Amino acid sequence: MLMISRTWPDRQPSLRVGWLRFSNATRRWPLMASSLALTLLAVGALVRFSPVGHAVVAAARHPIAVLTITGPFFAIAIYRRRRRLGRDRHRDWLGSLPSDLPLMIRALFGPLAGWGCAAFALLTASATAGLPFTRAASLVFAAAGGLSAAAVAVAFIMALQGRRELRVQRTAGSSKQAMPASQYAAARRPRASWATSASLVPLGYWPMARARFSERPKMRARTLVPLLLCLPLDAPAAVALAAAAVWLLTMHLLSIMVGLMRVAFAAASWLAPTGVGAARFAVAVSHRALASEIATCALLVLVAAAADHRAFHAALICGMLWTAAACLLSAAACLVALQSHSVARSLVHRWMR
Amino acid sequence: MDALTTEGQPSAVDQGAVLRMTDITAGYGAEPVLCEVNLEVQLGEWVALLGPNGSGKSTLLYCIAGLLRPMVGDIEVCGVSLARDTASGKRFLGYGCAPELIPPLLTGRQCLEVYAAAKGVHEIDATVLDLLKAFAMAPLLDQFVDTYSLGTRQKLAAVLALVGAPKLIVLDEAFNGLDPASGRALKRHLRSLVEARRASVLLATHALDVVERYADRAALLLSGRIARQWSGAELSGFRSSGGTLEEAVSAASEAYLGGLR
Repeated sequence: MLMISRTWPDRQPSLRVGWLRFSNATRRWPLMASSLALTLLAVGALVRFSPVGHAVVAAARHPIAVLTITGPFFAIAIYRRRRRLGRDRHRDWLGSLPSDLPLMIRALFGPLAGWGCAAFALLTASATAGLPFTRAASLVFAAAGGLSAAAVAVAFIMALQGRRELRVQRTAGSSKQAMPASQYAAARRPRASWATSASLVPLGYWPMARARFSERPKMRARTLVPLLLCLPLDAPAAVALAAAAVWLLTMHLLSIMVGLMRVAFAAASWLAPTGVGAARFAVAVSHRALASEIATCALLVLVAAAADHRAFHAALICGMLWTAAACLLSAAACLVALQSHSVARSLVHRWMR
Repeated sequence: MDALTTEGQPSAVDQGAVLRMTDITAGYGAEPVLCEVNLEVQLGEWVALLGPNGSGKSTLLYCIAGLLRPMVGDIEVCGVSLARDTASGKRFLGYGCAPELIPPLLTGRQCLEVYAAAKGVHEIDATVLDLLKAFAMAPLLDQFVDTYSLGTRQKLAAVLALVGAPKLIVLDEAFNGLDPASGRALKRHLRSLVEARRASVLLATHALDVVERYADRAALLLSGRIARQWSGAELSGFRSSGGTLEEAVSAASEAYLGGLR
């Protein structure tokens, strides 16, 4: 028998589903819960033992600056979430239910959770790592101020946008000419050479698209900010720029390789039933990604040589080793992927015959 | 057992239309998909919504479920205008969402509990639990949704639509992927609700055999407008005369689209 709880939080489906997802994920993958605890501990240690601690103390001296920085940061986050929730409203499985929180409140969940984690880390650091409590508290309150200001600003912007969209919709709805003649799906411009020749070459775009997706600006910022925070406060701008450039290029190399691995398996599961040859498949999937890897390695070597000509040889060797490893890895991934997705080709099947 | 708390329920519901759509124009952004659609569904009626892909069937259901606000016009569910009081209108509504939208990290039981709690239900209706048994879903209820097959997710989506004894059950392609036994159980359950005048069903579907056999009325949606409706007598006429709804739909579509050209 299913007994239904009727407390207020239980009657807010999105709140309850968020909690259930989290608790189910930690129950299903216990490693996730321990890695979360480890992350929090690592943040505390970072604040205690690294130059980040100095940056935090310096930031706490200027709460207005913190408010000015966190305000737009939270505003962008809340605005994106609110837009996405509004856009995907008709795809929300809870959308037809009578009781749920307004979209604006739901858009606040993520940034609020981020602020909560940051506050927890700062207050833990103040208790254990010697960060003065008043400094930590002023940072937490400044960030809360930024979050509140951002929420108010986004609510105001969304109200204005909502009114404008309603006006546009009413105008479109009242126009007799507005109804499209047939289907409503936006028709894309047809390609001139649409599927006229059978070729595996377009597969090469897939890993690149995957890599571009994983290193979109939001993700780049998430990895770059901690790196810049780890630099000493008195580091010259040239060093910071060089570190950022090297970091971005390295991340590019890694994301291409990760994209290539994932795409190799996805493409193999799709194409294995066609009986495509392993060599053709490997070349088609990896040629663009490997070309990009080689170009990026060359760029890294040039950057290293420009910074210090003595580093040229070491960088060149590293670049060549990385390129060779990338070629071997991509070939191995494509072969393993095809083997694992094709019964006819699998080693077990051959052995059985 | 009486499941749904019915505060604010109009007394005229049992007699009147459970759904009344008046001059609905709706779409995405400034692009209208539906144009001046008028549709009424009485209590104890099974209405089928037919139409080719992209004709606006799902958009119409989104509007009824309160997921999409119409540009023009009003929708009343059990006498409550969705434009004026969306939350009250949704209390009478059971909407079967697309099965792929059910969150994969929840168990089937948790999904049911979330839906029931959000609808203010004390206990899930015994007939719904019987349907779960008929679907052979009881052993799967404590498994995560991402381990379910397409058909099992479809069953869960249909059961979610029935939680809280709604007066209007809105289903979009609800029989896709169901095995024959489960499909028959769902059709019989819906038919029994309709015949007992406990609910009405609005089903968007391409399965014309289901429409011929179970629906009381059918409406054909073409290019965002209701082009043709068939009454219960006409639908039963197909069964007795040996004709098919498929031919009738095809002829009506050609006539309507030919008139537009």
